[in-house]
Amino acid sequence: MPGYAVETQDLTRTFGAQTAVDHLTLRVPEGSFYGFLGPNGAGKSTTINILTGLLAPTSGRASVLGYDVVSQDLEVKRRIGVVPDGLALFDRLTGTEHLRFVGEIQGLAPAVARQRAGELLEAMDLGASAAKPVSGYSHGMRKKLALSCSLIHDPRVLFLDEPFEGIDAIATSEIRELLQRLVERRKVTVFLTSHVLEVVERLCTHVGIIAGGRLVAEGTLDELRAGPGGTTRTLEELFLDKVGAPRGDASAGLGWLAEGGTSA
Amino acid sequence: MKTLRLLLWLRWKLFLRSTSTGNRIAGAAFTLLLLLAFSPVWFGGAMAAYAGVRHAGAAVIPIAFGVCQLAWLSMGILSGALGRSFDLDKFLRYPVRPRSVFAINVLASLLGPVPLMTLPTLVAVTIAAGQSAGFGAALGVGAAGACLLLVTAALLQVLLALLDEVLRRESARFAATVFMAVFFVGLQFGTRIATRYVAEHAVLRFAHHEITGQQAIALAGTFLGRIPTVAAPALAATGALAGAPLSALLGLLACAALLAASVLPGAALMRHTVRGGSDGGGSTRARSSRDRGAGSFAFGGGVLPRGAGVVLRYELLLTLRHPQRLMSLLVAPLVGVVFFFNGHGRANVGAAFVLVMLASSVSSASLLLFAYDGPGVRSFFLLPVAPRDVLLAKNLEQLIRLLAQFLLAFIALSFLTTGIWSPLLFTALLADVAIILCALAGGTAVSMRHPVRARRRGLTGRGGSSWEGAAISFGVFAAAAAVGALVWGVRRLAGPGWEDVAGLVVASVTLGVGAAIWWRSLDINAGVLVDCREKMIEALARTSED
Repeated sequence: MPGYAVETQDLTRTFGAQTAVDHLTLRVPEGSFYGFLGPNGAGKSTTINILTGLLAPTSGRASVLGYDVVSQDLEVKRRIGVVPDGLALFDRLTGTEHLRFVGEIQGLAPAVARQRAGELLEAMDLGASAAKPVSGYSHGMRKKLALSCSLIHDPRVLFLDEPFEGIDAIATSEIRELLQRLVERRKVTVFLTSHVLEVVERLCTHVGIIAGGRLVAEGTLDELRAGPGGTTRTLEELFLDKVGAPRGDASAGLGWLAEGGTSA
Repeated sequence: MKTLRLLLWLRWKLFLRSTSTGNRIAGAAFTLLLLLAFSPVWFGGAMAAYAGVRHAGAAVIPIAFGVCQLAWLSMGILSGALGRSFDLDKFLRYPVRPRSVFAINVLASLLGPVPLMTLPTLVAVTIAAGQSAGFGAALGVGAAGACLLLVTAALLQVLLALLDEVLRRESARFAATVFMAVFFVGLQFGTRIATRYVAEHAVLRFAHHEITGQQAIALAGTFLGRIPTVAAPALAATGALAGAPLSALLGLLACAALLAASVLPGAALMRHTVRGGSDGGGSTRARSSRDRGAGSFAFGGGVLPRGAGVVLRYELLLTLRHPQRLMSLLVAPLVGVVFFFNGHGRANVGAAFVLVMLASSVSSASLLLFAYDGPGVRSFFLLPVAPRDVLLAKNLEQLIRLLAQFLLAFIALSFLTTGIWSPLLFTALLADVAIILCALAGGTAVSMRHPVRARRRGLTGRGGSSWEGAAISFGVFAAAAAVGALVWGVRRLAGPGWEDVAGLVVASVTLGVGAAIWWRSLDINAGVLVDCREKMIEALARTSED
């Protein structure tokens, strides 16, 4: 029976009077491709930020691979790779330097870090820009570099916050294949947030849905999609069901926008 | 007008919400201190302008106006984009005309400390004009003074836009760094030579009755009156003072024309710069060859923990690649050389100022310890590097930079004079390092509690202000005075023959205390780094400039 790569118990995080994560209890099986879904402001990024050490929890516990994220944060960071929302790149380093920087901080020998940096840059189609400073990279290139940084030390858990946002279709396809290979062959656990349900449906083995800081659904994709009477729902139907259906006519009260007429 | 009103509203809201009340009070207190520190200049200027207009009449007006304008322009340009409120790139997606942004920047820059310092001179000229020629003249001269401020503000914005355009490429920013250094030294030498030559020449001519005071004023007035942006408001003021309404009106119209003429090219320059983007990098080829290096990325081979070594290498690369940090290396040496000359070639004057500048520059730089990391600051919290190692690396980089500045300054001073290396210098140096270590400890804490970002354009940074930051900045001078008094007292007590030894012992003990405080602070500040991570990410990693 596999253990859990990520576990939280009554995890709570408040910002002043606002509760972003509310007594969240989560279990992500090792080797799973876990899709963490929720509407905007549901608490997805806050949860990832707590699990990766960017935020401190207000209360509750969280562990990654059995290590407490607060008291054993360095142990956690040695075993995870992260592509945070907003990225975490130093503009003045070149792509190669950035990967060597991350690789050596992660404990790789200099020669290994250098070799892997070159291979990752080639694999991500960044070879031609390897010697250019990150400040000159496009959004997609930055995303690929951030993903490379998260992979260079061969992590056991990957936290990816909207990894496909701003990346072209070809790169998305390549990264998707790479992630699938990591999960299938190397048994890496991927914890991914995305608003693109189609991507989650295609990639993930497990799904958790969060709304208002609380977990409203969790399980394997097949379990969650199973409807009454042996029917199968799409992930979108499930998501809308758990999070809340559309609030009627979206353009209600916006008559000036919906109908033809003079503008101000 | 609606856009202008909205932009003013936005500026006000951003001002209110971008800093805490405490920091706004600290900022106001800092501005007040700055105004007080420069009071001999602006108060003296006002007195001189008043006396000049009362005794020499309208001929003094172009001089007063010219000095005010040149002072504001030079300070504004030297401090980079300090006078600008908005960068145009924030408004590209909205239907806002560049000229509206330009106009707001012109108006907002009127409230800066330098234009405020020119106000007393302009008010003094107005009062003197009123006493000499009545209320109507005062009104005209006052209006001309207001026009001078507006024209100068517009001209400054055009020059800043031009500077932005020129400094768009990082290579140009590097060139500008060198240029500024050369310009600074050249200005000092040039001013000294010119002043000495002109003064000697003028004294001789005065002595031989070849030139009178009136003639000297007329000469300076003619010279400054040839600058169109001075000439137009000066024409309005002199016309009002001389009772020539047509001249006054012509001057005011010329000011309006200058204002209108500055808006279009200024706005066009801003638009061109924004659309041109920034290359953000230097020589790719040079970096490519460095990237192929076979060694470890980490610096400090085995002496430092691996994390600290890697971060130290990053910090050193950042210093070499960031014009602002590169420029900071030149400040103390330049100050040493300049004060050496200003101190009539006395080595100890240059050395003393270098030591004070080193302590002051470390205290200032330590307040911006994380300012250049941008979104990369998240990496310090995502990667398995101990907070203490991050701070150790960042502090060591500061000390390496300090050593480089010290060597540059004292090598330069050694070339200029002999006898600079004395026991007293070593005593002062030890005491200075003690103060520097304490400043570094305090500045590091403040840099995390009150994180500020560096600007991505021009040569200057976007600073922040806080009570703690101001205390560190001014505390360095207080500490220097206290340690200096202690060493002086002990040397006096020790008496002849033993004074050098006694001074060195006291300075060494002070250094030991300073080093212990700094070493202990690394542990304490490591906790602060963890506690302040959210605030730091919020302040440093966001993409918006405001």
